[in-house]
Amino acid sequence: MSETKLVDENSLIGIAATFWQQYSAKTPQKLKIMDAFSLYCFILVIIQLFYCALVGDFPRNSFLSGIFASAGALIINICLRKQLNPETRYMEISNERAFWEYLAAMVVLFLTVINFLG
Amino acid sequence: MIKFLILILGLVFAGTPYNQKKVLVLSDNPAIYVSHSQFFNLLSKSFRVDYKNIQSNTFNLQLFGEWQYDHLILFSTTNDLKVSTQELLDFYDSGRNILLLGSTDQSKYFRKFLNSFGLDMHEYGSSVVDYFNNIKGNQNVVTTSNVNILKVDKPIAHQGAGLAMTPYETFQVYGLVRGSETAFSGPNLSHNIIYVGATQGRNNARFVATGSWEILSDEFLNNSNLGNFELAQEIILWGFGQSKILKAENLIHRRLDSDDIKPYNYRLREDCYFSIDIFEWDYQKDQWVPYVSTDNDVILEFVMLDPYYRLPLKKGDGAKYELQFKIPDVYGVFQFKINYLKPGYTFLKIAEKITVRPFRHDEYGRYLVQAFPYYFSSFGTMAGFVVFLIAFLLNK
Repeated sequence: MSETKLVDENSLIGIAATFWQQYSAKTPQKLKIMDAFSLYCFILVIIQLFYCALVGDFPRNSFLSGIFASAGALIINICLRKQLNPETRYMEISNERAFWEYLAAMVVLFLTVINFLG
Repeated sequence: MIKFLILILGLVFAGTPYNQKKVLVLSDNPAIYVSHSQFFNLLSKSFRVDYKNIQSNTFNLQLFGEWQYDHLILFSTTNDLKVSTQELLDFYDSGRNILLLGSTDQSKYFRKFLNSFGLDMHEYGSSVVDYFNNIKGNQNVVTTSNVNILKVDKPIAHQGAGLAMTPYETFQVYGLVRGSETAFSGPNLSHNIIYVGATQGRNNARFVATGSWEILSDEFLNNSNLGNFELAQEIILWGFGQSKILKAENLIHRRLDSDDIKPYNYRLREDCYFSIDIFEWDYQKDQWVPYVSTDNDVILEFVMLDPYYRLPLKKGDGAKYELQFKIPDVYGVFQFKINYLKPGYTFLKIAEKITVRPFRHDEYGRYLVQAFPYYFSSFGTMAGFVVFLIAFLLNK
């Protein structure tokens, strides 16, 4: 990403600014909420990995369930977001059906996590 | 008068109990009844002795499949026995003891018989010679103080050939009376001579062999400067199963905090308590007394293909040897093994199998402090999910 600073828009900061402006303008509100949740889960994953690198993963079951909870929620969220966006949908099902499948997947994930957490 | 007679008869017969063991003495030289009379006196005090001629047909070791004698004393001959070596070995395998008094001119039968016990007689015609430790300057009558397992204080005299042990290390063959360092036996000048050797089989039957007849003869037994009399007593005690006999029973293993004996299975890292009673036979008191091991050497092995622990048992009260330990961090089928092979004592080999299971699903540690971030992140994800749902569904 090291380009010469010919035009302001092609530098790194320029790209970030353009992205942020386009993103705020173009994405619907619902997708922004989903993105917020995904970001939250991603931050949780980073925090847990950082903690594991510091202290080690002693109760390995707990470590796995913690990571699995946040990373799994992140992935399922991304799948629903892909499905809800008409440009990137990959299955021919209605939005409500996609949402029900999303809920089912999350419920299964959380059941597994609670079972494995001890 | 009749009562007096009955009393006398009762006293006479009280000295000969019918449950004494029977010893068979085989020899082909009737001179031994004179030259070994002291030894046979000692024998008759605790056994019923049968004297038979080796070449005669009047004795049967076995009659209709039952052994007729409990112990056997053989005086070696220059000829072969009518009894086959295999029958003698079967006699030994059944747990009965044999004492063999060899001589340097014994036949090949006896030499081969000795070989099956890990001992070997020196060459035909050889005799032990010692110019330093001997009696009255006669270098053929040698003395030694090198005695193992038996308790003899004075030096022991020997005249005749010597024995040799197997050259490799075994835990079963002992040199009870060994020659002193200055003794040698021609023509090969072999050192490390054994005068009285013994083998204890895995069935704890004992075989004692001497290199000559003279070591137990009256000439040496009557000499009060020598230890041959004590040696004869000790050979009769040890060789015929009266001393240094051990018995182990009452094996208990349980969890440290419970009273159920021998539970169905143990878990990893549990505390376990193991105890066993070891008795020694006391022939004077005619009962089993608690065994006292001198240097803390009854060792318990906790084995699954390899020993995970090898710990000495601590002496408790009475005959109890006990130990508390923590089961290791491995699950599987383990064995408590005791392999007590103290020289001179009967072999104690005990194995008891237990299973060790891994943690059950709910036996792992709960609410550990170092797992808090993971707990928080899991429940935090779920909380965030609920918040997200509310925001997502109520948004227009």
